[in-house]
Amino acid sequence: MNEMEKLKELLAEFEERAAALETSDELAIVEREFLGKNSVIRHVLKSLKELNPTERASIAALANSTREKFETTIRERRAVIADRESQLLLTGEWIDRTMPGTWQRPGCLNPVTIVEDRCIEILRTLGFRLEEGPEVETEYFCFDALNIPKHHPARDMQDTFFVKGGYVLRTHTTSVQARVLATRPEPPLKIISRGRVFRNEDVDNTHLAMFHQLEGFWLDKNATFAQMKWVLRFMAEGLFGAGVEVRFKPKFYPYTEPSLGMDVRCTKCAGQGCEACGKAGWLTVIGAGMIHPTVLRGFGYDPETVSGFAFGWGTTRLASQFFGLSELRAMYQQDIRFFRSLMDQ
Amino acid sequence: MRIARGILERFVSLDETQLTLSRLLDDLGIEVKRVHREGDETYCDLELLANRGDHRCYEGIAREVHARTGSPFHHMETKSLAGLPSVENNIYVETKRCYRYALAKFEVIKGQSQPSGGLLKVLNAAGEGSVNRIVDMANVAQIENGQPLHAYDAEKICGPVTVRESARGEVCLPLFFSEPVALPEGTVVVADDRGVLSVAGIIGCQRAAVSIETRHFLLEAACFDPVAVRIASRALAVSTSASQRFERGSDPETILFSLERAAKICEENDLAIPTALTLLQRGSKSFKRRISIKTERLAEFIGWKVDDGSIRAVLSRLGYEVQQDVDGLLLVAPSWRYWDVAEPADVYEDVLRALSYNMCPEVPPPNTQGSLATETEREKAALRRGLVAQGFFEVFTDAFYSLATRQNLVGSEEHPLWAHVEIENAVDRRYSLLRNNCLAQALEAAAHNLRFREQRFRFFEMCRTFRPAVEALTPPQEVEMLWGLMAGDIHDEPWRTTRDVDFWDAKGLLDVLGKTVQRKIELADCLDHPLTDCLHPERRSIIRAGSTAIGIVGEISPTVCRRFDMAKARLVYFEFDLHALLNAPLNPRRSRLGAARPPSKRAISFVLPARVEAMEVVDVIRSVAPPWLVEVHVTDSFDLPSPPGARSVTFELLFDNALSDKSAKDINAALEKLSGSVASRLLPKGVHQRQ
Repeated sequence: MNEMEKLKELLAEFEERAAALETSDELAIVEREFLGKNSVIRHVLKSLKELNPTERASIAALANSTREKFETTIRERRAVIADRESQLLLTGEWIDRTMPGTWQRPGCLNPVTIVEDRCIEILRTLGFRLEEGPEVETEYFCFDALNIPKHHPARDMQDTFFVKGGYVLRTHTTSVQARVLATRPEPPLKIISRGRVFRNEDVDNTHLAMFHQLEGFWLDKNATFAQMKWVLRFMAEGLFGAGVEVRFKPKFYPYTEPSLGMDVRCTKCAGQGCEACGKAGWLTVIGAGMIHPTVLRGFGYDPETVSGFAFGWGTTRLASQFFGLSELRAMYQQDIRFFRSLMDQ
Repeated sequence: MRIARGILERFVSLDETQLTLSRLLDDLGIEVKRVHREGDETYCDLELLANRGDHRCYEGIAREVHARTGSPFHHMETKSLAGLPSVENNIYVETKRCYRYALAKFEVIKGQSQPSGGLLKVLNAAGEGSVNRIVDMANVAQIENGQPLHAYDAEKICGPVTVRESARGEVCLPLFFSEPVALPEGTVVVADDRGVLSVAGIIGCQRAAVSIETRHFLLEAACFDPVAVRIASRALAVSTSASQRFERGSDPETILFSLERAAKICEENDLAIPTALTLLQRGSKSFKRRISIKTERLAEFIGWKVDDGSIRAVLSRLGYEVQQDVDGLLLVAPSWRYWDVAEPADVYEDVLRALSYNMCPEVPPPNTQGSLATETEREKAALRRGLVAQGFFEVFTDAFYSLATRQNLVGSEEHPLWAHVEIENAVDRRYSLLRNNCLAQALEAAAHNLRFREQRFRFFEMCRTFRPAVEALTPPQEVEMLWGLMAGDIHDEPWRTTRDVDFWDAKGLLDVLGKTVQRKIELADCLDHPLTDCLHPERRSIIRAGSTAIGIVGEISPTVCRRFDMAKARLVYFEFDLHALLNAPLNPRRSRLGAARPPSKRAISFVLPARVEAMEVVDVIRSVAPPWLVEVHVTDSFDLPSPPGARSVTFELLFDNALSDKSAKDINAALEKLSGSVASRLLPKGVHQRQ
């Protein structure tokens, strides 16, 4: 068989093999076999110089065209096979996209902290700063300094845990107010205190032995009732949104006079009456009042020249309203199901 | 307290063109909890202000409405008792805690035994039941005008009636009691020759109780010291409508009026005829306070200029005697306000309330420049956020726990955590001790969740622990702590991985928290932390910040888990003193990438046998390293097939390259020296370089 016939036969064989190629591995074998260093075509091209000039031109032309045909065909087949293999690979990587995602999920702050932080953020815009006080408190700072003498009915409102050594667990964060005033700072003074308070009573859905309060007070040369109302409305709008409807009503707290409660129109029922507001259409959210002259005098201030107002609320109850919780206890029970449910909201 | 609108209208006309009754009462501070109708009548359930004893009757509520609306106020009709002889029993007041005392004697009219419909209506409206005609009459009089009245069967009283303080060991048998009770010494009582007739202002005794057989009765009206009544009421654990009124202060000047009103009710209901009266007053104490107010100061205080005419009008309607003074008003407060009106601020409150708090304008205060959080507040918030980002939920546990919880956690009195701050009077004995650690409640939280087959949880809390005072007369020490607890799979969705959290996760978390607040948190051997024996002996460490031990971290000991009913739980816990962390020196952030050339990196591996810790190798490297070695840390570790516990640990070393004065040859030479030092120093422990 001469070289011409050999090349034609090689081309025929290549075309048959190339047509049957399925994988890139098979393609590599064919490529190596027909275009590699030891391939027939390489051998033919290498031996061209041994041929006579007449034969050389025609065989060289055929060999080159055959090699180009090989290269073209292999390039085309490679593209087809790569596409197919890619497709197969992707199909093999099918996943069930409905399975839960696996990235680290955040936890969350307790609803009480979320509400506290929000309140503090609002009050900071008015210049309030945070102060802390002990949870085990003296009776003086918890009661006596706040115009709640022994056997005063107000002490009933705040059944107290007594701690050995003559101390009490603070029943309100107002004790922080007393501690700050005891240092006799010069007005103006704008203080917030937050934290746990304690009541010695049986626990049920709406009563806890420990819960959270947040309180603020503003002492100034001429703080007025009208200013207090403005601050409370500012607070309410910060918490419940601009335009929230509020009303004020007289209350009694021994450490303020006059004392008031601020109601907001129930946001859940728009004032129509629902379980959340006890059918009243209104929710009392803040207790407040002008600091009682007896309290001011007790710390050496002259009520004729210095006045102030204080306000506070149970952040536990406020948080329960914000998060639509019917049981206050849920926020104090370390039940992961409750916390996960918050994240689902 | 419950009132009926129809009855209130006997005292004051109600004009509802402006506000409904419930809105009006709310606005006056007499909170309406519920409004309901029965037949033609409207009832309001009220919540009254704790300091306003005078609100506990129709007359008191009507007076507030009158002050607001100006509608006429109607006094109830009375029957004069003037000219009656004194009661035949001698009456003595031997305690200064009774300010006024009166007894009126009545003779019951024969014939009727059923209470009249008029009395029943008032009682039912107030939610009270009928007892007998005499008691019903006394109760109705109190509901109307607020003065408690108590009736004794005159024929059961022996000798003079004395208001005195009880002697030590004295007993009495109050109404509705099945057994006699011992009275605390010094309790104010009303007594005759045979003993106690009533505990003053609280409850009568059975032996002088009136009944349908009673033919003559003595009706008592008095004013007792509020604190005395309060102490006795608490001691006996008895609270009656009379005691509630007396505790808040009754009207000392209404004694005679109330008896005359009772006489009128008796007459209207053909119940009894008054036959005698004795009225005693102890001392000459005046119950009408004089207060001067300056109207200018009132305007300054409330921030609202109210005209003098309005001020005078509302105060007059509230019962004040008002006279013009040089630059203000001279006021005499009514006797029924003796207990809560003492100074100008109380009067300002009356004026505001009568005019409506809602009428007062709202005025922005000056000095409303904002403020910033302190560094500590920002750092605490950052720690909270950091933990939340790591999947933790913030919880609040009680500040106290039971004796049983302490026993469960620490076992014996020898344990360093045995001493607690004790609560003396916990209603619920779960609150006996103030916590001195956070682990007990973390364990209870874990047990709670595991009971519900919740295996995966991450909790944290910022809270305080309490340690008994070191010295007498000092308060317990409060320490602000941050604790965390984790359990279960490393991922939220364990369908892809199955590894549970362990010690290293907690260590990594602490490292992250330290970086969050730029403090270096390191771990060290557990030596004397009080929770040491509660943690796994091979998987626990002290937490250090700077040179200070601030807490402990580790896996909970299986023994402790078992004691809290969690036999198979693997719980990882940490707690540390939050302020100790934040007081530790700052570890400022510096970027090495800012240098002209980044550090040169080399790695070196050693084979470490069991119980040789990677940090020992690091310590040796640091001790012999040139000053331009800036960091050493572990980058890899894998267990070797033998001997047991042996593993290969790879350390990455970073050499400062900023000055470009070290060649690769210098660095490699330093590395060779370091590895040689480790190999020679730790060879006795079986450490050798891995080739």
